[in-house]
Amino acid sequence: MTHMWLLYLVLAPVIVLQAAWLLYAKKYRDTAVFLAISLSGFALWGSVAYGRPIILNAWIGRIIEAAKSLVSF
Amino acid sequence: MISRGQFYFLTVNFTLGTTLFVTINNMIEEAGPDAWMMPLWAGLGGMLAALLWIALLRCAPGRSPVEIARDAWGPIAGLIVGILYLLVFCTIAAWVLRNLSDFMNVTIMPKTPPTIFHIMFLLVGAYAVAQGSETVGRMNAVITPFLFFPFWLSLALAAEEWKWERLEPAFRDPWAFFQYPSLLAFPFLEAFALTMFWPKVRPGAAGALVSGIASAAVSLSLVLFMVTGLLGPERAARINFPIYTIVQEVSIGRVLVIIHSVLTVTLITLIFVKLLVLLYAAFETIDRLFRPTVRWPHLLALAILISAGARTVYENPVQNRLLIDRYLLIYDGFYSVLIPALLLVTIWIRRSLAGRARKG
Amino acid sequence: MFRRKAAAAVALALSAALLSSCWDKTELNELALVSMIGLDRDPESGIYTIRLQVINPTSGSTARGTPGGEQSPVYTYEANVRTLAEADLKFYHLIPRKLFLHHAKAVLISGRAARQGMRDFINFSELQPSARTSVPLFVVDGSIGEVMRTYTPLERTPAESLSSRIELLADYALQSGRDVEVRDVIERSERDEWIVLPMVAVTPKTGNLDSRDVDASIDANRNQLRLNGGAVIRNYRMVGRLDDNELVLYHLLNGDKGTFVRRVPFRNGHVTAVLLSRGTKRRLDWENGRPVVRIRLSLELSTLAMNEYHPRTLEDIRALEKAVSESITDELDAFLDKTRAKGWDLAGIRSLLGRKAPKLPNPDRAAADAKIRFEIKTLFTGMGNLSRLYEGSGGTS
Repeated sequence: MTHMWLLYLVLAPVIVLQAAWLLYAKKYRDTAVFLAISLSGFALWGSVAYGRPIILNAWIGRIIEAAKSLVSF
Repeated sequence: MISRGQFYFLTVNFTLGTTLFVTINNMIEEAGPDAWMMPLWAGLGGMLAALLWIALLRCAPGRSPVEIARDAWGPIAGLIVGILYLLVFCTIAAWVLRNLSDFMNVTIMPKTPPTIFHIMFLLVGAYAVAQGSETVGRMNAVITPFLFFPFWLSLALAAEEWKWERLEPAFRDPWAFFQYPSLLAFPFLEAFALTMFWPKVRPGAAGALVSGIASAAVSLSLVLFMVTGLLGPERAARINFPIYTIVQEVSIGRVLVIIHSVLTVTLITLIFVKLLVLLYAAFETIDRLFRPTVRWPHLLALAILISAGARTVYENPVQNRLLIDRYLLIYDGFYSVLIPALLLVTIWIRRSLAGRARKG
Repeated sequence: MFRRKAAAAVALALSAALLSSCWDKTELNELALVSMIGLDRDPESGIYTIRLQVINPTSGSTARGTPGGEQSPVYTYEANVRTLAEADLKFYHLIPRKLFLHHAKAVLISGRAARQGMRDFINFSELQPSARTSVPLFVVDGSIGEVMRTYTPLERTPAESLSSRIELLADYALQSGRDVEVRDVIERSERDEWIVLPMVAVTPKTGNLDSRDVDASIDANRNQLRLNGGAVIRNYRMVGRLDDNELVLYHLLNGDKGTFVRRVPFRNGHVTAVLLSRGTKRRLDWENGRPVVRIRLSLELSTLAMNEYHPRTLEDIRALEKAVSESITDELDAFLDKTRAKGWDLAGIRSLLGRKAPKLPNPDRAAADAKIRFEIKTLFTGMGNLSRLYEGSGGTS
């Protein structure tokens, strides 16, 4: 909650500048891969900054439970 | 190319990595004085899994599991498997970092924000990974003696406290491992990340991988044996970082009282090796999947993702342990046993079909 | 030829003007470094008593302990004056060096002067271009003269000892905050907000009052200074005090960040929770024309000191988190009820209304009427070095 500014003032510019440089260098595939990974990281950081972290561990548990119930039927 | 010896040391250090921090007290809690037998069973399982991976990797020399999946199942399924592996490596790397910062925050640096540890380790790790697999392998081989001797020396210095009766009654519950099988998943199935190094290792490294896992299992067993004998099963089962506590209580004469900082450095270096391998595996996955032309932007993206993951991988140590007990074996088994086994079956079926077609 | 020489001479003579050097130069050894300032005013006679504690430059590790070399690390000077401006002049009857106030680490004001109002002191201080207001301000409980003549163990000067203690209390007990400096008093008072300052008192004395008995005695609880509760200030005037327990709640409410410890009722007993305050957020809503302030507080819970209980399951964790949130909510509610009954607005409701609803006809009334709801989110994040407690029967609970 308190470090929201870090998210937008540090992390976002880093991602945008890096992506812009990749685009400028005409590396389109690299841009796509970079953005896909870094934006998912950005989303995770966002969840931390807004005080509602996406707990990976709990999600893994949920996915496995869902898969179990699929298999058992 | 990295040599077979370097690959062996990489396997040992990777497998020991966070294990020395995390599971020691869980195992002693499960099995009491017989806890030292658990890693032996788990290591046996890990060696079997390693044989499976080797069988798969031998089907297509010079190719990593990601490429093998693409060859066997086509571009789309291959891409999905590749992305899955990427996520798995990132998640485990995040886990490793979080274990590290938890340890540091509990023991010696309670005020340092965990993210600082994460980012610093990622920064150094990314630099090593950017230099390529040779650097990773060589660096690890160089530091191994500096880890091995201080670690065993500091444990040996504690041997004064040794009591055999702490290990009794012995052999009461040698099968305890089978009630607590998540030890197989962590750390032995996680060693799957090492298969991403395979194409860069000199041929004939199967023995290095299997014996690396075996050595790690034996070392772990020895550590558990010593921890039980030095702390007693009652304390060791409850203390979160028993190795640290043992060394903390050692004093050499009246002057050298604080030698646990030596141990801390050893342990965090081991963790760093584990992080390095995972980071390399994640980067190599990107490399094999998308054939990128640049390195650093992708390492930056990985660092952003993993540093965020390290904050969110689990809520607190209690929740972490509960979910590990419940799900980790399924999770690790899925990507490191099920998928490789299915890949192997696909390849065999294809080959036998192709062989029959040639005959016909 | 002669003309040339003359011109050169004139040029040289003129360049001498460049050698004027600096009029305001001061050498370090011509300064009296003031480390603590004590302010007092007798309400009856109106006479100000200013005390300055000046660092003794020759005292140090060498001066102490050597026979005959025992010197006080600080000297306290005192001046009684009718107007504050006289003080400067009066001090030069006593001090052979130029006063240097920049170095002051603490300003103390006597309880009676604070009750009377400290505006005049602050106006005078702000008028001086050399004054620095980023210094913590303490209110003295008892005699300020005695406080200014008391040594503190471990730290060389009492001012350092006091300022270091409020930082520790802020970090580890939440009994102090960052906003306890002179400038904060000015800002809060000008905005008609409330502020709580740390209070300092002398502990019981034994032996010779003015000697360094504190160094000779092993009992460090005697003969020294002690931080003790907080002084509630509004409009430059002290109107009441808070005890140490209420100070924690005040700083929690005020959004200060730090660790503190609470005993929390949990499952027919109590547990000790180490909590880390992560700050507050306020939101203003309206219900039937009545302002409702939601104060959202986020806390991190650690079982580092919880020797009574250790959570084993996710349900245990949730129950523990809930118990902590509820207990803190109750405590804050009770604290607010008590202080609002006295007419104190320690939660800063009026200033929130002033900022968010500036057109309100009667903000004081609205602030007194406002309903305050707490939304406390506790998250269990860390634990100590035990994953399970020892269970022998030799405990108290």
